[in-house]
Amino acid sequence: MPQKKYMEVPSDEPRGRNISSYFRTLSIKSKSSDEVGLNHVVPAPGTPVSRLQTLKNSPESHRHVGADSDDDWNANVDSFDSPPPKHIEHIPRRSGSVHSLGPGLVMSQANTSGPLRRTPQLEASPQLEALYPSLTPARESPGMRASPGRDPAPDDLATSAQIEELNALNAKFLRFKKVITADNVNLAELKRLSWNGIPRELRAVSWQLLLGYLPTNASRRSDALARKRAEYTDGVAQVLGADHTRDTAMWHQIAIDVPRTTQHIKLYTYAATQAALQRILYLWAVRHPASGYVQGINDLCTPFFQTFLASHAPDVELCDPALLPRATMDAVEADTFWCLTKLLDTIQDNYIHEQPGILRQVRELEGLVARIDAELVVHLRAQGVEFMQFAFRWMNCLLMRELNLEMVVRMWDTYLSETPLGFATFHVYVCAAFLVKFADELKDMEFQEVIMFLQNPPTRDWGVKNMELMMSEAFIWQSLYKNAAAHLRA
Amino acid sequence: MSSRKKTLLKVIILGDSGVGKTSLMQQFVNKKFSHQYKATIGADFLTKELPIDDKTVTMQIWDTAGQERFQSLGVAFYRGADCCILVYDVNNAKSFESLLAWKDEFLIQANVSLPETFPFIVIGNKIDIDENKRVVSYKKAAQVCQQLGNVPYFETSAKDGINVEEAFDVVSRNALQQEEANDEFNDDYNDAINIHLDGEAGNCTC
Repeated sequence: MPQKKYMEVPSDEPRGRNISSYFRTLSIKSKSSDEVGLNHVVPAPGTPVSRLQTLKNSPESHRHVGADSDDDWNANVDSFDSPPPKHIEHIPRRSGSVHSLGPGLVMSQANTSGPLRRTPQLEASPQLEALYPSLTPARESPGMRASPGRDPAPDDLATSAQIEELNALNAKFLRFKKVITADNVNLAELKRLSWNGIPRELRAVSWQLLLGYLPTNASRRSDALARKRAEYTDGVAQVLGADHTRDTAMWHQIAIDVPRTTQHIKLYTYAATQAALQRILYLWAVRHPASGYVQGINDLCTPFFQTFLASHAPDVELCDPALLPRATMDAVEADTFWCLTKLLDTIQDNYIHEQPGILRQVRELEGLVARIDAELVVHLRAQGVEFMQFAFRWMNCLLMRELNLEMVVRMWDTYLSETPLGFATFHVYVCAAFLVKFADELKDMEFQEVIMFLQNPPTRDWGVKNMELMMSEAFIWQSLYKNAAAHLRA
Repeated sequence: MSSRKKTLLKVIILGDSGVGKTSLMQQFVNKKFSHQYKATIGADFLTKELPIDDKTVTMQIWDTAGQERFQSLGVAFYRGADCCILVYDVNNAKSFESLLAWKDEFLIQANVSLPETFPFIVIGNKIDIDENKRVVSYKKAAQVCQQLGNVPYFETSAKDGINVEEAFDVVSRNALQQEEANDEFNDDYNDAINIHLDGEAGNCTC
């Protein structure tokens, strides 16, 4: 049973420390963000920068919250070990316009085969600083800020918080860039950084490196990619060719699922997208006869597809792939296939006959929650609620039905940095944190309400802060329990 | 809580993937239709309060996933059911042929005490689609339902809301009957976990 092995966390020691301090910071922040809500607002007037906004695009709540905890952030920002406040770049998309980083900062026009050649635009960062020399404001003492008696002009406060966040973003970006542009990428380092979220512009490359799809050795990349992409094209030609007997039941199942995949995002309503997903899923299914296509795998395609496509289409959610160059789309499709394959390799027993991986995870989840909040489990049992009734889907679709796609993507930054066990093992701890978050409410509910609540949890509007808090909690549970596996077999 | 328990009717919807199980449930409970339902994973759950004659009952509906791969978890959802709705798509022959398999699968996994009298109903959905595409005739379907043990048969359009109320009205009456029979049968009926379930299910396949 390969899955029995529990976490090997790479160079765990410093990270462990950081995460818990991160966790403390986050709990404070997240509370306030809950109170304020996560509404988009117009940035404060007089902010220097239309440019800034495109980079930043942060809800007001985040800004205030950021202002509250500047010390923590500043203390952390300069250290590699610490979690930078990366959340600003992951705010859920509501309005189309705010999102792209602006043409000057989108890092990729070329195909992914030459990620490193795209770096010139990264050099925009010093330029950016030159444009806004006042980006580093003199630090006020925290006391001054927090003092309720004094009332600093809210604009100033917001602006300086904004600037600090930008600087943090920039610093983070440079740290990633340094790792990724090395001749030989230090994977352990990339994992460590990625745990706390990957900058949007570097995500495609980072994911491909973390999954082992892209070679760490820069000189081998373009050959390797060319080979894999050709292999995919050949594979598709073969299984769709005249010599291959079509598995009609499987083809049909995929064909009815693809048009109902992520339909609320325009990208997935286009024929070109659906045709690509159909090919990807069918080829994967044919190549993995032990499981074949299982509903839910269609969902797992989308974070890859969208992330890789975003390198070529700034407004990816509205993009019609048919309008992109053929070679670009072929590359995105092939990369999606291979990365999906890599991911599914780590959770294969979720989808084979009787889905033992999922049954195990649901059992583990129940055991874990019994440890964390015994009262909750007692209550659920008394109400006749079985974990299988709500958690099956959490495992089968990796919480993709409960969270918006943007948050799933952020979650995958962390999961991929836990490769190879992120999706099989760490996910269970995340689900525990997810459930326990609602423990108080659930304890006041009867069977029917519990099921309805968990079928439709109030998490589709969650933002990055909620996600990061949840994952930090999961990390703590994992640190506490991963080597004490006896509870999972209870 | 009052001494007399609220009447709960538990209903399960089964059938092949894409025949419109979710749409039927949504049309019945929320009176709406959408083209955007995602494939159901595991099972979805909705409830509806219904007047039946002079009493009000609560119907709890489990809308299950259609893909065969998910059948192994039926146990978690089927147990304690009072009625089972078998759905097929009148434009899809295979979904019709699967009806018997779904019925058998349900009886095995739900651990029903009297399989012969357990209430099923069959729904042929998507009658709004072009008549030329239809592959299962009313006559054929009605005939098969009779062979299945005189199972009531309805043809519906979840999209246009045709006949959905009528079908669920029969579901609720038959479920209530079953529930009352169960009640007499079992004084302390409270959905208790049947500890023999696994063993029995395992034995009969040997």
